[in-house]
Amino acid sequence: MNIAQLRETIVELLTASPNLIGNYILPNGQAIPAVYVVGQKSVPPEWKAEGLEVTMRQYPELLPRAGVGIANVLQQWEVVLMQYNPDGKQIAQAMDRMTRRFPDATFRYLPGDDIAYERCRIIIPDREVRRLIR
Amino acid sequence: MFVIAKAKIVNAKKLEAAITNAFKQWADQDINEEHWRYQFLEREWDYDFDKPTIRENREKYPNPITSPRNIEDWGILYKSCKYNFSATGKRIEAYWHWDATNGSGQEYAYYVHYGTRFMDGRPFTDDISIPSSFWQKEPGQLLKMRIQDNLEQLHARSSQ
Repeated sequence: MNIAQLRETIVELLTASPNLIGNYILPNGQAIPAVYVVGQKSVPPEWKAEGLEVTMRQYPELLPRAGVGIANVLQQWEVVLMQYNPDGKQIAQAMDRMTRRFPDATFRYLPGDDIAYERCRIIIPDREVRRLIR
Repeated sequence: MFVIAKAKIVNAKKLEAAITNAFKQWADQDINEEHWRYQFLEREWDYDFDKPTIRENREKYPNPITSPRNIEDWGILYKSCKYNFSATGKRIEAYWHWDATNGSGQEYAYYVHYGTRFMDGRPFTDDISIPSSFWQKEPGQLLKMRIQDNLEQLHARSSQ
């Protein structure tokens, strides 16, 4: 799995009726789905998030194990669901869908308070066998 | 003509004691003494890419710090770790709790670990708390070695 496939899978999962993903409101007033791949840059601070935001790290943590002519690679993807409206219930439904799509993932649910929004951090393991480069 | 193979475990109590001992050595030495020091004082974490900040401990960190950075600052959070090991009944458990509090009296390890609205998290327990990767990371490999060492010692003693 690569980041494009992960993003597509999660967007498809969470936008299935009813759509759970909220919006970013850009400085020009345009609304776009609140899904962001965090790489060199985090979500631009001038983008206002509404409802449920989904962020994922561009690169997984790679944990290779050597085999004969192959590398058994464990990739660990990090996805964070963040509920920006305190009365919103989308995060609970999103967690339910994610547990059924990624049953071997590790889920850490964190309630919100005055310093942190309600969120769920999800670590998704993804094993791949890759041929060695010679 | 027969081919007979036999495998047995003798004295399961000693086996249990060896594994308990391995787990205690791992928790006391590999994690308590080494792993947390690395996570808090040496490991460089990604942290708010565009926002260098000035640390409270200006003597040690006089200049604004950007990413990546360690957790240390004054070292208060690191030093606040409460460790407990218990091996009673059917449960063997190592337990760590960082109880340093902020100006409002709230424990802040939670915010450092998972992040807030204003800063990235630095999940310093991940290497021992994510089941899918535990055995491939250093703590898991060290625990395997501790168990192997203790079982080999037990085997050597029982072979004498």
